[in-house]
Amino acid sequence: MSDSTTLAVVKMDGELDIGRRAEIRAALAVDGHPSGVLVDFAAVSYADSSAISELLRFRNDLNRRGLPVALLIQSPQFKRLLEYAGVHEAFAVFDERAAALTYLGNAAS
Amino acid sequence: MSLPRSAAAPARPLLRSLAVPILVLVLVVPILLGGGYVVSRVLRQSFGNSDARRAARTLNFTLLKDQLDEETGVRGFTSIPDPAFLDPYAAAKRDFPVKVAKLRERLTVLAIPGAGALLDDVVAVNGEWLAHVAAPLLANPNRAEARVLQFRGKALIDRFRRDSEELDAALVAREQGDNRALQSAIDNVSKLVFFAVSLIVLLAAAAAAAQSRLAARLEAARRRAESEARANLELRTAFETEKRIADTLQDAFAQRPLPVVPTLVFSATYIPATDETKVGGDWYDAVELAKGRVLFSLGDVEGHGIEAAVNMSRVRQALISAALIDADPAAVLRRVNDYLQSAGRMATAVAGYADAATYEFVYATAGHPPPLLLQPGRGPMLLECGGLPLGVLENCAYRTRRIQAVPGAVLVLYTDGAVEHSRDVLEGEALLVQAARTALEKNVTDLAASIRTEIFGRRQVGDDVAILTIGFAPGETTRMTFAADNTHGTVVSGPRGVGPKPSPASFGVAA
Amino acid sequence: MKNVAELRLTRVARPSAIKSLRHAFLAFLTANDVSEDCAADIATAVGEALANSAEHAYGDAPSGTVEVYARVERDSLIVEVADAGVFVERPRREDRGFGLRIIKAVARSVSIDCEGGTRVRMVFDPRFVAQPLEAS
Repeated sequence: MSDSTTLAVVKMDGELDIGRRAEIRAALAVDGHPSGVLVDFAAVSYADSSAISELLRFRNDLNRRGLPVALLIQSPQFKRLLEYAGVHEAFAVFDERAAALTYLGNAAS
Repeated sequence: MSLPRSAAAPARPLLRSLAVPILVLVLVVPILLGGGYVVSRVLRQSFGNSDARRAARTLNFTLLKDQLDEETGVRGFTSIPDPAFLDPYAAAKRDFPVKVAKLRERLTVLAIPGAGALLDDVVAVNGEWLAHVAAPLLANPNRAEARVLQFRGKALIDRFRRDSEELDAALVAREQGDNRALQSAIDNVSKLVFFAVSLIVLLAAAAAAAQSRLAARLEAARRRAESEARANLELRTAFETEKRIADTLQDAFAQRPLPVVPTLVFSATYIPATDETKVGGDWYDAVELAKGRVLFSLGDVEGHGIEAAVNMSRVRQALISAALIDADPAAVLRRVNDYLQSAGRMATAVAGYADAATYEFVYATAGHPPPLLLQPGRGPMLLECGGLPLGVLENCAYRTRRIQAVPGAVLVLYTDGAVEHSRDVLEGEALLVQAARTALEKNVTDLAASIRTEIFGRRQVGDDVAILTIGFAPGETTRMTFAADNTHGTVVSGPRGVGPKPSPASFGVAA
Repeated sequence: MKNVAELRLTRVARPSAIKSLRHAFLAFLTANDVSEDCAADIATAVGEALANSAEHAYGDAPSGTVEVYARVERDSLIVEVADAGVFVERPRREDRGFGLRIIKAVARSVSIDCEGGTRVRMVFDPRFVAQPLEAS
């Protein structure tokens, strides 16, 4: 459904490790033309490099389609992981849902 | 590569398999020759015998005829005492001993048992008849006992006839016997020849079979040896090809010599983590692209070995190509980032320029540790860095930063192997800074090597380490000391740095 | 809390088995008074080595095993992750090699030995939870 005010939300929780790679890839997919994408990983307690790979793949895909994306991450481990991998600058990462939504709202306009 | 053992062995089996045929031939040939000789002798004897037999039989008949002629003559004379009737008697009587002698000769040759005795009797009969029948009748043909004598004569001649028949029978028997012997001899020899020929044929066949089996084994052994040799050759070729590739790559990856530019000073060092692969993922480069303008880069492609080295080489090339299109360091990195998207590898890098005319460093970083700037009269500074590693995110933006420096300033670039060896990165960085200052104060010629030694001493290098220093040559009257200061500081990014303009006062002059 | 000086675990090298290994390792760290954030990071690094084994060690063959060995030595933590496969520092296209980079960011040193299998040796400098003084 193409609606320029519709936000696509992708939600996952638990531990995003290599054992769930296929599941992560399937979840990080968005059809149509939403105004933006919110990746809600607030309930994720752990992530590893396979999650990062899938996130980057997702990010590149959305980039090509001109869709802004925001990550909602609360796990300190996950945030540090992005730094260790050197990709923290590749994503707009937020602690709070509200901040993420604001960002996406601004990015869409 | 020697032939397999089985190829050397066949000489003996060859002899062994031919020995028997040879041996048997050695036996068979004499047998055949002997047999042939025997046959020829038998044949010769047989022919000789048959001549003698025929002559003997003829003579035998003739003797009898002679005797009868003699009798005829005497009888005729007895009837009509005319000497003309004695002609047969005379002729026969004349021939008789000659023929007896001939016959006896033949009989001797034939060696028929009893034949000699028969001939003797014949001769005796003839003698007796001549003496006791013929002679009296011839002397007096009208004798009263003429009839008796004739009877006696007839009896003698019957005896003669009987002997002659017996002799003829013996000769015939001999002929049959001789024929039979000849037949059997021929049969035997035929059998022998047939046997010998069969044997020869069988042996020839066996020898041929053995030969072909042998040949097959030899062929198989030869083919095995060939394929082994071929496999070895392939291995050797593959190994040499690989080695040649590795050597070629090594040469290709051999560092460019650092540029020689007036007022710019370069030094560099690279130590791969494992010695056996002198190619790795780290690199440094400094190329003079325009007069007085040198593009420097230093970086680290993820991975090890040949694959990382290949990718690293591509990145280096891509950097220079990008710089030729658009000199701005951020643009350069963005182009290289786009290029690396397809390579499946990421890399960190710092790239930029040192401008010998303006004493400026302009650079951009992609996920790389911060460059270290040492300036006379100021504390050492770790400069701003950041940016995503190359090859991670498409259409990534990088930032170009500028720093205004002074003569004598040195920019130290390094890969993470230089700082990530100790307790934590901060400590590693501190160690690096200290090493750089120490090395600089020592005023060594090879700054990079000196820094490395200061950091690692005789310690084993864990990771690849590459260090590149770019310095602006100090002024002639300058000797440098450096303020011992905080090791962390930032340079404000923007079109121009806000550092102090170079002035003599900022140099520490030796007292 | 009693310090557990050594840990040795072996599991089938399958992606689904990595989680339990990681949890066991995390428990080991906690038992050795490693602080929470530090333990999480060390477990992350070790998890990356384990993930590499699970993904690349045995190819399409039915999985072999991966072993984790860890011991505390003075103030350092030494961890070895070993499998009998070939270490493929050759991730899939999208992976780019983050695993090793993450390990390098957390560990003091990393070394990889590829002879007869793959052994990743990591040395960490953990931060420990301060122990309350024992009541005298």
